[in-house]
Amino acid sequence: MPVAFITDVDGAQHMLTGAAGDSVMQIARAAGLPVLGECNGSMACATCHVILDADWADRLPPPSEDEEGTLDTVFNLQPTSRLSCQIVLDDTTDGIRMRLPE
Amino acid sequence: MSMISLTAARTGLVADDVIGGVRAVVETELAPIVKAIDIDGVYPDAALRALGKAGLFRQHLAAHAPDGAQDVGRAIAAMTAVGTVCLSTSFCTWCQDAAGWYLENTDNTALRDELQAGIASGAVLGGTGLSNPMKALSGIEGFKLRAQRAEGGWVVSGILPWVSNLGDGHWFGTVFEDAADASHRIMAMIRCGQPGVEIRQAARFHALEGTGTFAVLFRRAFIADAQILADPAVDLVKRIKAGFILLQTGMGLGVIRGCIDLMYEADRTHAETNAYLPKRPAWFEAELAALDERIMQLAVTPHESDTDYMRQVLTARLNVSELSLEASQAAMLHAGARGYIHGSAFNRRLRESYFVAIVTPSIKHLQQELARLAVH
Repeated sequence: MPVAFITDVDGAQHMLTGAAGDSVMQIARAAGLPVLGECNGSMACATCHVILDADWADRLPPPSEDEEGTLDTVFNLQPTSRLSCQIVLDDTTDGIRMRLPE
Repeated sequence: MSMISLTAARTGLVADDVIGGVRAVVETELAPIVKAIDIDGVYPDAALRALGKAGLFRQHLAAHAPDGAQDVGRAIAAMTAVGTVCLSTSFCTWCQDAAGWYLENTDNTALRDELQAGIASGAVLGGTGLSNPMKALSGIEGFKLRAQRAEGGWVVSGILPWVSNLGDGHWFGTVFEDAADASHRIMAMIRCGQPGVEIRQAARFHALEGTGTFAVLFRRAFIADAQILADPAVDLVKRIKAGFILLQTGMGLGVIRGCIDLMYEADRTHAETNAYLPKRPAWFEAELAALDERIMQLAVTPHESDTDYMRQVLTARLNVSELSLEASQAAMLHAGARGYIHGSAFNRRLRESYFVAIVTPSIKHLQQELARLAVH
């Protein structure tokens, strides 16, 4: 099963597993991390904002226009910011690493 | 006697005229498009403007009410007349009424002079982006809008997931947090389409599709000092809170009234069997009349702020949600299979009643606030 590593605001690293096709938002929320995903992946809230490790940023497809537009509202936007609802677990994202924003 | 006529009897001839005018527009302009609103998500722009002309949005606004008196009870009764037929439109009415209420209570008289007359008449349509701030102020979630001070205003970033009764050029009230001091909150009126403020349709809902509900994206939007309702927001939020919550009850009272009407309709062909159901229209009539009586009494003093009054307001709002759910379920049970068909009014009412229960303040939010009040 694909794995994602998420570092929380206290610096603790969480290894989460999910089925292929799950989004990182779904598995983070299921694990009880503060990734609210209030709009359930419709890119209307940015409450699933994550910051990818630099070496993973270029390995994902670029954000869609809607994702980019939503990310642009984030107050503490980082160069590798993404919406975790748009990151889907599969062979290409297995082992992906990210952190939660402050 | 129906709930509407009880209310009218209490508030006199002016209310009779207002409610009668609103009901006439509801029958001619709204009732024929209710299915299109529900199924196709049509926003009832023309009906809302016609209802505005009939006086729907001005009853709680002193400068614009027909007798020059701020009457929250009459505003609720008028909203109920709309909600009896269509919750989507009564929700839009509440959004509009809330925007007018913020302006009614602001110390920024220039902003009130600029916007309130248009909102009172329906010439300007608007809404309320206070769902997140209300939850944030109750500690349920964080503020979604943050701002930095700039020359002559604030630069605001963030996103409000769902704000209703919006369209290009519509106005809405919201609260943002000072990025330099999280305890400092500012309340302002925002215009859809002003630079940096974009509305985006993002999701399809279980009901209430035709309510002009959008995500609102703030991208370093400059909110001028002239748009500020209150800085800091805290006192204004306290002033508007009871009225904000009480006004919402018109939505639920309308749903309950509409469900009772549906039960009577079902009885025309199935009364003999429906008589065995545990809760019948007469029971709901009595519950509705008592609830309406309580709400109308509370609506006389919407600026009271003592704990006991707020407890009664929150309890009344909670009871409206609970009775809405019960009434819509009872209506479905009265109807049987024909109510279960996609597009039936029974089906719509069931879906609508859940909205009464989950819109901010939701049942769980109200229960939490009541539990907190019980501790203090």
